[in-house]
Amino acid sequence: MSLEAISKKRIKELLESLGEGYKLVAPAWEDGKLVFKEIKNMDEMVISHELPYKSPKEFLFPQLERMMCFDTTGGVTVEDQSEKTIVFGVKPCDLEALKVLKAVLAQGKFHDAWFVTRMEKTIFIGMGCSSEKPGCFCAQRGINRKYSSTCDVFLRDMGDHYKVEIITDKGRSLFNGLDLKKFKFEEVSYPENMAQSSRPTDETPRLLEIDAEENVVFNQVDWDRIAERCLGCGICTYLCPTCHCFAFKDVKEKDLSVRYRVWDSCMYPKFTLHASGHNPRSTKKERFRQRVMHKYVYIKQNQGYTACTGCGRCIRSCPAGMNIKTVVSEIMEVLDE
Amino acid sequence: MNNSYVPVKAEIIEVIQETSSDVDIKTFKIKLVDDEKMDFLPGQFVELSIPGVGEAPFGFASSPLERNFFELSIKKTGLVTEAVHNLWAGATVWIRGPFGNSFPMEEMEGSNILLIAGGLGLAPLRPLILYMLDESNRDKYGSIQMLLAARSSRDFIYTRDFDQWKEVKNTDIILTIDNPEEGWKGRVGYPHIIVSEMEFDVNNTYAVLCGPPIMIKFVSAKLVELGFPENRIFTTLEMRMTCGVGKCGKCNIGHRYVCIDGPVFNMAQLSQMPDEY
Repeated sequence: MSLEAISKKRIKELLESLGEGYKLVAPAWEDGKLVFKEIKNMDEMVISHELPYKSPKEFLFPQLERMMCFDTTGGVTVEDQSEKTIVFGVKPCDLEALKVLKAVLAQGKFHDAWFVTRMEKTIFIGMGCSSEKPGCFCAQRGINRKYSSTCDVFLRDMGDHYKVEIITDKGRSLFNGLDLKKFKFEEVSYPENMAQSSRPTDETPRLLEIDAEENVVFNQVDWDRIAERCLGCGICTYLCPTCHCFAFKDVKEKDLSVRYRVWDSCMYPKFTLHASGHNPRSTKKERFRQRVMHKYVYIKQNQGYTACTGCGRCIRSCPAGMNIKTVVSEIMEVLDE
Repeated sequence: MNNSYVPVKAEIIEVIQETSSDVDIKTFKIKLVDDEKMDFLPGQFVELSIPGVGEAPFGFASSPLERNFFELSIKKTGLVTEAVHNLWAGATVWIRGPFGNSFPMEEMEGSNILLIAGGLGLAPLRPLILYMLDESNRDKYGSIQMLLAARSSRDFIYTRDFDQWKEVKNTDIILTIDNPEEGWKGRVGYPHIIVSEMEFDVNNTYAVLCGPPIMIKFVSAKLVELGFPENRIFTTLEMRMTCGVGKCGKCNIGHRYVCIDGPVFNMAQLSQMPDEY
């Protein structure tokens, strides 16, 4: 690839040229929060090292998605509202979350067709993160905040320019047929093996990982005390880049019955409520335990990834000050004993 | 790619009122449109939709050898079941599946079988019974004993089948109810009490149970006490679920998902799972 370095001043121009035929999603301000949103005017786009309030999960797995319509003639129509999309400026923690979503929704015997279609049509352009926000703990989750290859293109910040790394064929296709000369930064040469050399050199703290058998974690941890402050509002699951639990909801719209998929949350009592009235997770103790164990034990056992990227969003937004990082550290201490 | 969330159209061809008590259980005989065949194994389930109302999982209740139609026995309990109960022969429903694992039909070959069902718990065992009692399969299994329990004599489902089942060689049915009733010729008492009075070779018998959780708990404990190995006691679980295919995150017990790792589990697996989900 001839494109190695592009001028920072030219990045928006480049994105405009790339974006033809694609919906462009990037960080922008909305109601005082930096979020991923569709960019219609390039001035809205914010290129920074700031981790947005929300992850870009909703562009692969929307909070509300029309799945299918049943009509009065007895037909069913599958709906597909996916669009070719570029998601720009995704930080390594949010890119890491894609591994979990893909493993659960797009692998195994059954696939989630809506997710798979969106994933196929989406190109992720990753960027590094310069500093940890309060609540961030990606390093303790073993994530390099400066670089990730879990994307299609990665822009490495070199001060006055970005080094463009094309990772997938999909990423490469974005640049095909583009006159790149005007975006190029002056010739620069890079040392070999840059990917390796940019791993953080500072001593990494102990990894937050749970390696115990599920019954041990389930039974030996004082979940009552840990869950005590939880209000069960579910904001942690909505903002989590790896949470993917959902429900189907049928809505009557004129002559149609439309089936929507909506995000659901293990923090809500009705999530597991049986029609009989029985509820296997009837108190917040069981629900909070499920959330932590699903992330750190069950998905890890089934898919091989811990479903927590250390993005810290659940910690920063919790109205009751719940902190998954200290909870997991505490569990590790209990297990060490 | 096969889209596992999109159901296919089906038609209710018969509705059978199951119990003469006030317990509202009906069996729905259903066929897929365009004479599509339904291939399933005993223990598997489908998701049934009523557009505009919703979708819910139900275990198959008919013979897997009959591929032109299948039956679901449904108790009126929530929104979807109430909507289904208001339907009649000729009505359209939507079906996706089959999903889940099955009873170990091959593993059980050559052994005696003890089936214990409580109330509507007989429904998911019926495909297994009809499969094993079929002429083509009956010789693959040893003796088949059934202990069928219900609250009262009016709460048994599939009573129309019982005489036929009894006629099959080396097959026996014991009926038991919770409290004495005038004219009742069967047994009286909970199944975990009755089972300890039955005779079987614990070294060459598979037990399959289904019923209310409290019944499963007491009966399985009794069977273990009587010497049954845990890996030869099977049951089938139910759990609230949306997708049926391991994505929606609702039906797990520990790392196992009832929809794809179950719904059939043996007691050795269950005793390793966290208790309260």
